[in-house]
Amino acid sequence: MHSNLSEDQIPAEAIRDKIIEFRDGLPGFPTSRKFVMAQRPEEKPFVWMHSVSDPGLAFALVDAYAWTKDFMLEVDDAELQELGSLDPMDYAVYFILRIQKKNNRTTLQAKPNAPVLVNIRTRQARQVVVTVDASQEKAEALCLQL
Amino acid sequence: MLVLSRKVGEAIKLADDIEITVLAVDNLRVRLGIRAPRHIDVRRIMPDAQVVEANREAAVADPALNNGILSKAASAKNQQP
Repeated sequence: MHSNLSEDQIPAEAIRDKIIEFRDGLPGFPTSRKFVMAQRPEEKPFVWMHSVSDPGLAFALVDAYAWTKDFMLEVDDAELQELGSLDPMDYAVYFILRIQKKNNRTTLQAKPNAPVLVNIRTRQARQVVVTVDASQEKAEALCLQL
Repeated sequence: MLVLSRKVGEAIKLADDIEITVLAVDNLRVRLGIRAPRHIDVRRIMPDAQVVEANREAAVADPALNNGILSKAASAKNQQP
């Protein structure tokens, strides 16, 4: 069984400034399991995910549905169950952004095949690896230049 | 590494109090049931080296240096068609 998470989901306000937990750790950062989702109103749909245990570590995230029109994600029900529920309305979905600065120019680039799922009720989170086709990958990897 | 085979429904035991049962197998996935005392921390080892690499590249070591970037990004994003 699979659940489709689609755009009609709850806004991520429910977890703003709250602590979320990656029970299995974030890949590459196994000791950082708890993060605060910090977002000033003018930063929406972007959000800073700050490590609780390591104050010098943070990630820039963007709401996947705001970044990509018609974003759809298919996730195994067993995986959702482990985060606390099967209800798609319980989940916020983010892309992790890579920030690069070159010649006074800043670009933000999304990694579309490894979104972060957060259950906004249980605040359990996991980065999942999904298969995206090439055209989707290209669209979702679009850079934003500042 | 010790390698052994088990059928669905069969189990292995580690030390006196940890049991791992093979619940189901399909093409790409094995479901395991793990019975262990509370103090035993069980978690997945995330295998995808590419994701690890991408996360390391995305990690921001000094959030203060990037103060304001996301509000700029938000206004740039909102101006897109």
